[in-house]
Amino acid sequence: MTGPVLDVHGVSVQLAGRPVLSRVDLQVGQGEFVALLGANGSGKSTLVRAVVGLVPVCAGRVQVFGTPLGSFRDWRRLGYVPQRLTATSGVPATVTEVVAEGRLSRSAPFRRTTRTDREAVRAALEAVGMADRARDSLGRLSGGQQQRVLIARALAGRPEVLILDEPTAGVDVPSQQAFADALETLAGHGTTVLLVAHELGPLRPLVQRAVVLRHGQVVHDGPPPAPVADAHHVHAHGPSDDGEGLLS
Amino acid sequence: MTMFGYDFMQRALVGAVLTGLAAPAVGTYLVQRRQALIGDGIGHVALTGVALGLLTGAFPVLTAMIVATAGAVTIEVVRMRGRASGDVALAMLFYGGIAGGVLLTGLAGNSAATLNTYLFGSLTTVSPTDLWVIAGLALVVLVLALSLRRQLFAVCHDEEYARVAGLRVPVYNVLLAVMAALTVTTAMRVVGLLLVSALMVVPVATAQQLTRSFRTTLLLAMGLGVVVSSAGVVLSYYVDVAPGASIVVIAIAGFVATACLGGALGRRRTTMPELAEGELGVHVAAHDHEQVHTHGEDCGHDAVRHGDHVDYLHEGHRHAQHVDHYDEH
Ligand SMILES: Nc1ncnc2c1ncn2[C@@H]1O[C@H](COP(=O)(O)OP(=O)(O)O)[C@@H](O)[C@H]1O
Ligand SMILES: [Mg+2]
Ligand SMILES: [Zn+2]
Ligand SMILES: [Zn+2]
Ligand SMILES: [Zn+2]
Ligand SMILES: [Zn+2]
Repeated sequence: MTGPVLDVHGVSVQLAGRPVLSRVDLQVGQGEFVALLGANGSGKSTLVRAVVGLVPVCAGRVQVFGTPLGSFRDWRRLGYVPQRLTATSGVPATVTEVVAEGRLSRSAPFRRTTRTDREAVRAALEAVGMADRARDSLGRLSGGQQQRVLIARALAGRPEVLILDEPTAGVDVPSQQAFADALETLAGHGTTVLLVAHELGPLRPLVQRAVVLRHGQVVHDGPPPAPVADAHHVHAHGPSDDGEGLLS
Repeated sequence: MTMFGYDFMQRALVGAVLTGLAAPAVGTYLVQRRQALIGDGIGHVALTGVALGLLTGAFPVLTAMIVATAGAVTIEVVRMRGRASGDVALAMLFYGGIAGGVLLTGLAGNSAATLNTYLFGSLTTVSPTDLWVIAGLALVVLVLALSLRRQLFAVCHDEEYARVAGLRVPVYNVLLAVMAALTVTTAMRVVGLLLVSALMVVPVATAQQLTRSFRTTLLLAMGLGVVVSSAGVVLSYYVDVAPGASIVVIAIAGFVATACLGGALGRRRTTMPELAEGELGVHVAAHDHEQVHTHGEDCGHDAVRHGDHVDYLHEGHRHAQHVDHYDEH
């Protein structure tokens, strides 16, 4: 009986009067792990922002868990990691305070932080290997560490579907591996994942299906493109030299 | 008789303590969303409300509250719409507010001295009724600022994420605007409409030099707000100046002292430096000596962010992970 978790049908988006997406279809089924690939500027972020309702759609429809986005209220079922939040806030905030934002979809106004909230925050920080930095100020972390905090924030709500916009951009390789392990565990427990990426790296083995955008249109929907041919050294790689032509 | 024996001084001090608590509490959220000057704009608008009260013989604190709230909500709606012309609209509102206030006060036949008590605060003119209104409004603002801390923090820190978390962001935005307007009304008798914004912002700026969490910043700013407001009232009793001026001068002195202290302690920055993306050159695979070493956090090499990836400074050049090897960048 369960239809797709995310269902994007014929969606077009205009930003500042310019078409950014045209008639995009994207379905993500229950428990699927889908990668959304494409060059910078191809519309990946705009597509996931349309899926979570941050960008208005000028044609087509978006359904989340079978509900049209406009009437969807069950936000606790959805976790979102925006593309890197460049600036931190005007006032200091600790890692814990930011990750606790992820619990708000499960809280009500005037309600206090519960023990469940605290445990979920701690578990989310452990999942991204940041538990020892819980009390540090966000502004004192490296870019990669801040990115991991944003991932933990999405995990803290214990969502059924995770939408991640380039979560590993700027994250060093050991952290990427730790993050891949965390995602593998989640996917193993049935979490649905839509992952925006430029290069898959250590996440590649998890991806079941890849959708590739180019100039705001879907140009591929199927098995992930073959890994970059490796071990050929002394390469000058511009945009199109090593088998990533599909992406760049 | 000590100064605390005078009724008017007791009222001024109670008013100062309440204002000192409420203004930085709201100010922390405004600084968080980089709207430090919005309180100033609301103060300008509120002046028209004061003048309306003087002109019609109504209670100026009440008319100021109504006009300030309407102004604050308008400002927030303009901000949420994100119109390019929004800046100009806000400027009109701010300067129109002050000009209207001066005009109406003149029409009402009040002296500049009356107007001054609202612009810069006054010790002797806080009436018992004023005090009750100040106390009521301050209480409302404090309860909201503290009990909705998690929601307001999220909305001010990352508005888009808050929307995806299901928070009713426009409601919180308007609520914060109303809280700011109520704070301005609370503060105008003691601190004055032109200086209220300083009490919303300066204690927060002082506190955040010493703190690393939002919660302690909020609480410390409120504590500092109480200290500087009370000290300012006492000072202006002795030197006979408008309390708004002495409160703000003391607050700024506290900020400067903290900054000097902090500078002397030499806080170390650990944020990763960032290279301009334009420096991304041709990628050439690195030499082999990496097989024995995996770069990562705390690997001993300095990390710099470079466009969408991290480079590690290594014997005078930079290494970037690429699939199974390092590129030289
Ligand atoms: N707020 C915006 N206003 C106008 N144009 C935008 C906005 N955001 C993105 N764009 C444009 O939309 C296109 C797609 O951007 P984006 O979705 O961020 O791509 P990607 O995430 O694939 O790099 C780009 O050409 C970008 O310049
Ligand atoms: Mg993007
Ligand atoms: Zn390479
Ligand atoms: Zn080297
Ligand atoms: Zn290293
Ligand atoms: Zn580089």
